[in-house]
Amino acid sequence: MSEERLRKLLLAGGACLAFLFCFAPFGYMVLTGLSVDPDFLRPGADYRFTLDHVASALFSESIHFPAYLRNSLIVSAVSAAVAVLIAALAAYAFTRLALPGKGVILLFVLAVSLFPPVSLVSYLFKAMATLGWINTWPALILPYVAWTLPLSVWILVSYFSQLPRDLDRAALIDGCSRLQVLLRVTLPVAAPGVFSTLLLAFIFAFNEFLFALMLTTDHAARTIPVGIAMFEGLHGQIPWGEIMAAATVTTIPVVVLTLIFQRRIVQGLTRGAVKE
Amino acid sequence: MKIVIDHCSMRFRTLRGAVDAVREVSLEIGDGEFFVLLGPSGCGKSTLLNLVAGLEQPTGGEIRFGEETVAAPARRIFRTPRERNVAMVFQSYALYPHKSVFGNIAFPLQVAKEKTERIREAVERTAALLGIEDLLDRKPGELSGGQRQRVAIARALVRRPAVFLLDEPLSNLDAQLRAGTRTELKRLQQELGITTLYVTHDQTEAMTLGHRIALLRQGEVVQVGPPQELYDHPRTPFTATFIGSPPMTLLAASLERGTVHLGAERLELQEEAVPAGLDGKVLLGIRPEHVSLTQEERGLILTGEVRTVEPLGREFLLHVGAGGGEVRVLVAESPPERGNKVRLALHPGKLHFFERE
Amino acid sequence: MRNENNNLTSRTPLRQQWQALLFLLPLLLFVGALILVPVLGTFLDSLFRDVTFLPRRFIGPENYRALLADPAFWSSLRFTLLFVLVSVPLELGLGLLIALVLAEAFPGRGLLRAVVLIPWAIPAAVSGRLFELIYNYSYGAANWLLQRLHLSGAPVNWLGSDAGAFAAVVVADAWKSTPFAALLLLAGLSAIPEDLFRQARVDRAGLLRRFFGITLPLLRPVLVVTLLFRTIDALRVFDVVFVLTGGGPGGATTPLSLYGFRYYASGDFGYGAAVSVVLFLIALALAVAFVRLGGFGRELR
Repeated sequence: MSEERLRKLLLAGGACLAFLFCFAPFGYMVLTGLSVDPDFLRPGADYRFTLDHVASALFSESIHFPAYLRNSLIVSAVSAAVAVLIAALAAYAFTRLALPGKGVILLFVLAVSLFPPVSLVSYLFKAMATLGWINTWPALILPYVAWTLPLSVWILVSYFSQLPRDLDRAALIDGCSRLQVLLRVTLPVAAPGVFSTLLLAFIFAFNEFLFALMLTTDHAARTIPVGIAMFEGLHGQIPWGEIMAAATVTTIPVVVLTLIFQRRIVQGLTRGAVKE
Repeated sequence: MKIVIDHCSMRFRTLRGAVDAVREVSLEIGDGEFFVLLGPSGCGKSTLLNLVAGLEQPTGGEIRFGEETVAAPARRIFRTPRERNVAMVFQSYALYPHKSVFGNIAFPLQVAKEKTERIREAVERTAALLGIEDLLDRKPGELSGGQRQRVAIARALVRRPAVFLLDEPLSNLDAQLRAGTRTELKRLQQELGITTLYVTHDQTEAMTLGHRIALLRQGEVVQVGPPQELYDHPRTPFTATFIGSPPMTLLAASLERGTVHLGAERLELQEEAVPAGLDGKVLLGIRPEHVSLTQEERGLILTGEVRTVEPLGREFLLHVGAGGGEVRVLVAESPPERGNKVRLALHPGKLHFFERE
Repeated sequence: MRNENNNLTSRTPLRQQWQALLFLLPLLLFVGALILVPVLGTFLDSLFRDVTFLPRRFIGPENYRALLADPAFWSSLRFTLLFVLVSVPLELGLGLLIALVLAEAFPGRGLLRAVVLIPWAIPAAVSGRLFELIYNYSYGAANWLLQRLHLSGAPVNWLGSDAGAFAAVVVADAWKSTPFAALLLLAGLSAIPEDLFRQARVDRAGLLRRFFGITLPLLRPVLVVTLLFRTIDALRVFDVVFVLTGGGPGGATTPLSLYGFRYYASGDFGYGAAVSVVLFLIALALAVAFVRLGGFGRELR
């Protein structure tokens, strides 16, 4: 077989396998959510379509998933916005202002992102408990901002460092203060990068589990990941149909965002890793 | 606005040590003057411009605009660019890509919080001055290089700055556009009468545009004066070869009481032509347009062989091996061929002499 | 003064340096107060007997002594290290395969790239639940697939057996984490100049030759970075395991983070803190080792 054909074959095979590997579990999740019985794969069982589980996930009072979704969306959106704002300030300083030792500071901030979350969470819990903030939005928002900052700073630094310095100089000559340069010139010009960073920060916050597990106790502030993980059902048998329906419905925001903005996301994630 | 640069220095600290980009430069630029900072890359001209602009702070010396000191590190005085009322055109134009042409030009006025009506009026007026009133709705990305440059100039002039700074604004234009824009810039400056500081490495630009030129090299001023003076009376070999195109020929020679020895040849100088205070090892300089082909035997004559003939359209540039070096000669027509032996006559009144190490 | 970036700066510290500090202040505050302080606080806690309803008392290295004497700790450590050793190469290998596919231009590539991101987009806890269903003994997709492909006679008790649970956890984590590895490697692949491959083809180098001779060597830096990230992430794995196996059966799949978390959940903050500190130190040691070995010390400067 010629090399070209072999290559094409490998490519096609690889693509199919990759597709199956990544999609099949997700597809299974969606199917189970729409099936009357979760055991439709058993020999002899049929697949019967229903929307009951979805309805139950969305509207059932006792399940609280709408509350979880609301919490997740608000906490993630606020954390992402705050984190990116702070990161933009910092990234501007790192790429354009002189400060002895800022390289060390940047390195330190990045190193911090390697800490295991479990090494922070007990202290955070005690601190939040003392403040009486357990099971509130700030209890999650504050740690999430801190937790997504290193990544956001890293990505924005790589975007900002590619903007021409002359733009800053022109703005300074035109009368801007440094802060005004950031707000009126740098951020608008780097808007796509800022948006990517917002997306990534949002997704990271949305998917976070351990902090949410530890810092929330009921549906007042509980988020989707914890909600899905904890969902046990009332009668002993695990209500897979409902769990999967709830999982599908509540992870749709993130999946849709990812699908729409996949190019931006990929760009943002891989910028720092590879030196161009 | 008169600008005084008083013993200004700029020292950078890099990982590899200190770099003196500007060394004790002193210049006085008159009100309304078109002053050119000329020099090769790395000579410190752009740094000097940034110092005047307020984008950098000098490490030594002072800068004054008229009566006011705008930068004096020793006295902890430093005025921001805004406070100095300067405007600048960058080599890359630095237009704000996310704003329209109108937005770009209006920006300095918006930052200064002017009224909307006044802004609109000023922008339209300045755009008309530069012939870009039709482009106000476009974005910089849609414009040609020449158009972008006009927008950059408009943005600089809309505020009626006291000082107008330009950093190699013509470098990014194609040759044809460059000549035309050069003329326009000169006319614009004459009309508006703003004190202008212009940085370039192109000596043609400097000669045609400036009232005066400051030639810089490695952070120091080599010579200052009107273009013609630098051309006719260069004080160093560097000036002599940098100004004027094609460049002046420099030949190593020795001077002995009125006789110039060039290799095997000897040139007897007239009394008036003998340079005072120079003796021994010298550099003899002569511009290509002051050398002619001749049949004469007497006078300041060098013989040699033609090495290269370059047609320049209007005339021909010959490179002749003579006098122990290579002499450049401009000839109007019918040039000799490569390899021909020729006799060169040097114009006695146009000889330049420089010390040689 | 200028710095390495040739940035505008002024000599007077009172100007730009204060400004720079001001801009960095929010970042430093958040990271300091919400990450650094908790970590230090945890270090401190590990030296105390800190259990709810009991008075807090300094006990020095007692928690650590108890830790080292606890067979559950060692079992957890073994599992964690084994998990890292198995899942990281697996994810890198799969990621590389996916990256190689995505690096080629073919119709539908955009769709594939989007699909590849799905596991990454879904929260780990949710995917843990999903795999809990997949590995269900009676009707999960895993056993169904095995039977369909005639790979096994009887259904496998995934979550009920040590080996099965281990495999389940590895697969679930691989599903979640491979996309990120694939993306990083894809970026690395894109950075390799096309000309090198053209030259190789002209020199009549075959597929494998090109792969091992050009691709792999030039991918090395990115591979090392990806390896670093994946290893650290695998060390601190929590979400997927917590949901999928809960650490079972019988503690067979309990990573260190879960082992420590258990103690928090039951109110023993001191001991739990000690576990976290151990985990932290292991992660730190590995990171430093990577940076040294990968020659990154110079680059990061």
